[in-house]
Amino acid sequence: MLHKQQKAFSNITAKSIIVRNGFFEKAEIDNSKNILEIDGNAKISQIDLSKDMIIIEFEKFADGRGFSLAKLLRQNRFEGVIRAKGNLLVDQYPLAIRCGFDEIEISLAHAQRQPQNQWQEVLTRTNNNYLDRLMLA
Amino acid sequence: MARKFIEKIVTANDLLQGDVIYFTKDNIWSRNHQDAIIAHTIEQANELLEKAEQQQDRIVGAYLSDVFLDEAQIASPLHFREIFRARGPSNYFHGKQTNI
Amino acid sequence: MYQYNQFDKHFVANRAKQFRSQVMRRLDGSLSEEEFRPLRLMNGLYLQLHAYMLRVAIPYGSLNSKQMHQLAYIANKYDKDYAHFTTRQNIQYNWPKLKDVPDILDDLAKVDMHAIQTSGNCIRNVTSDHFAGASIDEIADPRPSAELLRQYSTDHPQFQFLPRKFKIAISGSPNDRAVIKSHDIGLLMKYDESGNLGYEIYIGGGLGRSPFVGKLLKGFLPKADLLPYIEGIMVVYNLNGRRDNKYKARIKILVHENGIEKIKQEVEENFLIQKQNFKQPSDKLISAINERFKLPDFKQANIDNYKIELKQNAQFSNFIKNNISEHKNKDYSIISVSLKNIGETPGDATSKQMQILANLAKQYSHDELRISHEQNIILPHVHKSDLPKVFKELQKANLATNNIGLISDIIACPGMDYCSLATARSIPIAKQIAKHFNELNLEEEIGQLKLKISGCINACGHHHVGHIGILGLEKQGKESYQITLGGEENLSMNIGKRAGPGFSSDELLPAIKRLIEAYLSLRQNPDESFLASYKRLGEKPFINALYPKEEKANVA
Repeated sequence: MLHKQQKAFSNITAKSIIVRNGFFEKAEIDNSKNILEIDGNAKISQIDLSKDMIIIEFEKFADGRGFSLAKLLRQNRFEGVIRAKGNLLVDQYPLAIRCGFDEIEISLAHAQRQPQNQWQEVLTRTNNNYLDRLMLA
Repeated sequence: MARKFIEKIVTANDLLQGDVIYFTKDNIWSRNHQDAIIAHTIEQANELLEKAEQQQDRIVGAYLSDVFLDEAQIASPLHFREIFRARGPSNYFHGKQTNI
Repeated sequence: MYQYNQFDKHFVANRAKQFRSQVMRRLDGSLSEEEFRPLRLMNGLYLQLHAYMLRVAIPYGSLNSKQMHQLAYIANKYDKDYAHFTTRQNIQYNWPKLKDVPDILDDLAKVDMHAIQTSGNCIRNVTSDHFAGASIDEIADPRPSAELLRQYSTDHPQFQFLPRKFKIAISGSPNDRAVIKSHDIGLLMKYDESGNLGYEIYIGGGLGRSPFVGKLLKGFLPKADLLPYIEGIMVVYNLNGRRDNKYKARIKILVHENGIEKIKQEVEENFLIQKQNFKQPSDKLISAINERFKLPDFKQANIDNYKIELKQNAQFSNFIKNNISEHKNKDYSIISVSLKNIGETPGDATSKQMQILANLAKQYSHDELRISHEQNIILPHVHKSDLPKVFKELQKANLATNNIGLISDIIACPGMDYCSLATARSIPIAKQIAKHFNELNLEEEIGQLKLKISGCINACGHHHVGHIGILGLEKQGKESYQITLGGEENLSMNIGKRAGPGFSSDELLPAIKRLIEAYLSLRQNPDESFLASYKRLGEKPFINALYPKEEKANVA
């Protein structure tokens, strides 16, 4: 069941790709899932945390609000899937994962320019970061 | 009354070297503004810029720069910023001025 | 000072490798210039007027001799045998080639240095007091906190794509030499009534197009809460800072538009979330950092030779008078080495000079050097018995200019000689002014005066807080210079006031001359500084000097 406030899903078609665990997968809509789509303007206090999945739209890759929103969702104990939607750079993938994102939806054209092997290569960058070390050491 | 069009050239920085380059008539880039192809109308200027911008693997940040023409129709930059770009810094003898 | 452990070394080496891959991907078309730009910026690489520019971080302005030697080596190998020390305690190379930058980063990593987050819309290199750990007036050493913030902010996953750049400065002395109130966050170390160490926190300061003095956000934050509190501020800024207009994107505008009370409330709310979620760094990690900033083993030696030299050598005693600051240890001194040699570019040093300073630091300053935001180099721990020798070496290297704090000790940004944002040149102006007052032998007579020059409204030359500030602009296709008066740094930070219409590059020096002549004739006594006279008399007599009546008539 789709959330009433969410934007139309018409723009998710075969023209987009999901990056998950460093692999490309075709974007498909799972209608059995209870999904909410938000953008950088969302207020965390108004988000329904009972959803299966929250999609955070990045209007531009340089608009970093989504990173803090994802982190706040996790800090508020949201346990569902968090997807970033937008043409994030390969180099932002490890940052997104560290903020709590599970997957990224990118356009086919973007995926062609920044192919799967590049997304796999950067995955190791999630290790050995300062913040984890400060908080866990 | 329409203002007189100021002649323009296309300039950018070289992607690998970083130095100042100018677009010339053969779709190639020169380090010397005197080689630049000159746009005499706004249409020509936009067309040149569009062509230049296609070479993203070679250049960074192409834009149009106002020039004046000498008797031999050779272009020189008008604005002081562009004069510095064509010459180099004033505190050391570095940059393009060393080749002039 | 801080020494890298295996983790730091690994991180920095990896980051250099990542940048190499980013350059490759730019060249093979995987990344467009628009996509590459923020990545190169957060690795310190700008594209300026004539070339790329690489800004290398000198965390809180502190480095050792090995690092300084490597900076000199890089200047010689990849650049034009010199480099520029900046108003943010960093160093810039003006002529690197893109293809060389990954190699430069590898060479930096070899001495535990990097260019990470020296640009870009992220938390920049944390700046601090250049006398930290040495000055007699310090209540606590700010460097362990600065280092903690460096680690915290480096590659922080949420804050690499902020609305705009973000600058944090920290001072451990009430005589704030880090100008903390001109930063996005300013931290002042202090003790509370029970004797616990913590921070007073200012927010929303900044120069640039809309200058603001930082506002008090928290009177006292216990030391242990630093990271969750900063995280609280950063989350509020990242989510709410304006992204529709880059000139309104700094946190100072968010604070200005919402009011400090509203921001305080939001920060406190978010701080509570962060405090619950934030696992504090372990005591082991904190004490490992503290351990690195232990005071050196100060030597004990007779200082009679120093006293004799003071009496016998006038050049030496003049140097001591202007370039020495009081050290914690009474037998030691802090030397400020001026990079404002008369007639030369403020903040520039040749490879050779860097090597000489590195050697002096190694031999006479417990292997430490500092870079000040005033673009000078500090030898923080020099035993007084060594001062005569150090002075002689500095003289030989053309580094003994004794003008610290005087009118020729000018801060100047690179201006339109290098910077693509600049609207006018600053270097020739700085050279001209310094040369003029030096030739007339007036610098000492004029006394303490901070003159600061920026080549555009972004104010990298800090003109707003200069006692005399000069701002280079473009007016009708020509360089034009606006003068501001009465700016002030430190905790009493004050934004200078614009004096009136700008001056052309030819009119500027005569105007400054009139201004200084007016001051010299108006001051109560030679001990009354320019700023004190200005405060006592108000702007009027100074503005009259800048704009004499007949000229006004001409303008009209």
